[in-house]
Amino acid sequence: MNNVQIFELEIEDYRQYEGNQTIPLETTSEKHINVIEGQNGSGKSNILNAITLCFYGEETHTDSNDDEGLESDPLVNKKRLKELDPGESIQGHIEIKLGKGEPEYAFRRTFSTARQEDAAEGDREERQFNSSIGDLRLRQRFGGNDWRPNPNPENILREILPTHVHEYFLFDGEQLDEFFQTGYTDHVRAAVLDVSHIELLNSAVGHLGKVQRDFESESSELGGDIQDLQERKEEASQELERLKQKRDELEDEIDTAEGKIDDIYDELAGSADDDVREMQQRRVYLEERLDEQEDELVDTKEAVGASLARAGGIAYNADALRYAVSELEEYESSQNGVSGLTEELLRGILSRETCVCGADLTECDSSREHIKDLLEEQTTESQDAIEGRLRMERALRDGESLIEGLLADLSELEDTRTAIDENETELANISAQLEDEDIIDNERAQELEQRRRDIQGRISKMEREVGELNGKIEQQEDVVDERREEWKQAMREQDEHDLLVRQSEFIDSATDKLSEIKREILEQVRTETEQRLERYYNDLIWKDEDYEVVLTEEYEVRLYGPDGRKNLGSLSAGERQVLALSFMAALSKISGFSAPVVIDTPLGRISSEPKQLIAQNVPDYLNDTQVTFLMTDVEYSEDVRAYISNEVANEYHLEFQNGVTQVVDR
Amino acid sequence: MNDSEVHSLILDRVDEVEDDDLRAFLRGVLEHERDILKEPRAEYAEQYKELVDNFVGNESLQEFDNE
Repeated sequence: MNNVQIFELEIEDYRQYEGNQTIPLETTSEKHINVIEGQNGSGKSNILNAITLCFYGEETHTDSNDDEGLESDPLVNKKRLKELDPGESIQGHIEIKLGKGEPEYAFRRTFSTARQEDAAEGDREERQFNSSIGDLRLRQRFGGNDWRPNPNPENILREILPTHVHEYFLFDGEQLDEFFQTGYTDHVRAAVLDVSHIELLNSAVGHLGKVQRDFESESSELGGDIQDLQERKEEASQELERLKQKRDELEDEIDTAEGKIDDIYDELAGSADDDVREMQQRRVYLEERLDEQEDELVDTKEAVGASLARAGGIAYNADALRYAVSELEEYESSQNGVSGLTEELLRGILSRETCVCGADLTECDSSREHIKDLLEEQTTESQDAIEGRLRMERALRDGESLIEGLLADLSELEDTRTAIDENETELANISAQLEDEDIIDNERAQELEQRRRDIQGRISKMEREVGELNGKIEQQEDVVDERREEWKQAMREQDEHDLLVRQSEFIDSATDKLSEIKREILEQVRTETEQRLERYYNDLIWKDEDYEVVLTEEYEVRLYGPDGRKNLGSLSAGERQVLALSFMAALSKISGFSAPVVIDTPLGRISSEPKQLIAQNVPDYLNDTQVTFLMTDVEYSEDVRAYISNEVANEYHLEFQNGVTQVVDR
Repeated sequence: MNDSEVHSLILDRVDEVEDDDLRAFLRGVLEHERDILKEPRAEYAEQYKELVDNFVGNESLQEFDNE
């Protein structure tokens, strides 16, 4: 196997795991899957937690529904804690041996739980005990059994699987369906930024800007006009920064306010009152639909503009063209190019060689040539007239179909506007109904709705302010550019400033290039994520239909089936889990790291038959990657087992008895 | 991939920059940024000024005058 894998996981006195237990996990390219199976509560999630606790000092899986969840439990095995007197403590550890062909690194983190000095027998557990974790330690192998301490565990870990991308490799499958709930676009955006190293580019651009200002400020020491111009430029830059900062603060406030609205939505969606719940569901649907319709409105407006550009010329000149065609038709029927001289008559004169005046053309070359010239002129005029008429008729025909297209686009525009108006009205009605105590007898819902409306009002106000600020920022950027140009111009006039100008311009080029790279990378990663997401989703989803997945520039995921767009809110938990699983797989690939993948309850939300397909396909797109599945006995059914058996290297069962888990071969 | 390296997505594009000085400067900046990414107070200004001086020093003045 070319990728890094976990060779061995050693757990001592961690949560359910009493004493020292070692789980060998070595895999090969052909057999790259480990399965650790156990019933709910037997300690599967704590295997994942043990790994993230060791590496990053944090536990990935916490039970957010339980105030006394895992995070409040002591880290050390509870059975061992019974041996403790107040003031005493016990230490445990987790050690992970990693490497490519063979174990190269052993990461270890100790933890301890102490019994509080003043703890009494009857106290709640979290008041009796206090847990703490130690620093990450690392031993490196130098052949055979020669393991020596390495003083830089964090650096080595950063090279294998850094904190910022670990959640795409080590994750809880059951919690994945929550990934695409309200406000998910922020997660998607953050994830795409994570794997693209955009933070690095932002930081470089920011630092270069500061260095550029330092260079430029050196010029102020040179005196004269330059100093004034530098100060004016600096003032403009500071004003620009102030405006940007104000805008960023407002945007942060908007994010926070939107988060509050999301919380209100969650609470309304989870209300025990059926009416409230239904209204909230309808609102979420309508808001999603409204977003789509607003996009459609933009597209339709563009289409109308294009149709108008194509059809407009012809439409405005149609009457003139029709008149010209009728005139030409009349001309053609009379063949009346020069009064009295038709093409037929001229040909007759030439053939008879006698003019209408009686002159013999055989004796008068000049008359003959004159008749010939008249005939040629007559023929050319007729051809030009016919061609012109045909072109005008064609233009009129094309124009009619272009005008029909324009009318159709205008009608669609009107329909979209009407639909938007209807949706907005219905949304306003829902809001009014939720607030109306005669309709909804639910004080909490009324209070929440009132709060939502207030917050929404504030958001709209802040969004307007952001819009105004953006306008001011654009203007101020022009002012900065203008003053910088003035400054540069003055600098150029003095030789001693030339070097500073060049340096400033060099940094300008560097900053522009980095900004361009940032734009390109974001687009590339977005497109690549979209493509992989679509491929994996179609591979994993159990339906025969083909789905198109679109990741918009605003990081919204759109799913299109044969019947059109599907709202993410209407997907089943299993479908959402598959979508999120596809997203994780896409990001782990794009991140460029080749680390082992550990998935807790990968099939948790999936019903029986599709499990086989997923079990079969997940390992395929994670080929040459060590994949460890932590599965319940229900997930790891005989069917699923049969599908992946050829690729399974190690199979363990978690035997949970009397509060203690033993890892045994399955 | 190694997290102490700059992502190939970025480096591939930097390598396409035709101007040798600009390309080398961007590489230097990005490598330094990679090293200090998690250290908000890390020093960068002097290093970047030195880098700029290397690429746009006094020897370039003549070239500027000729533009």
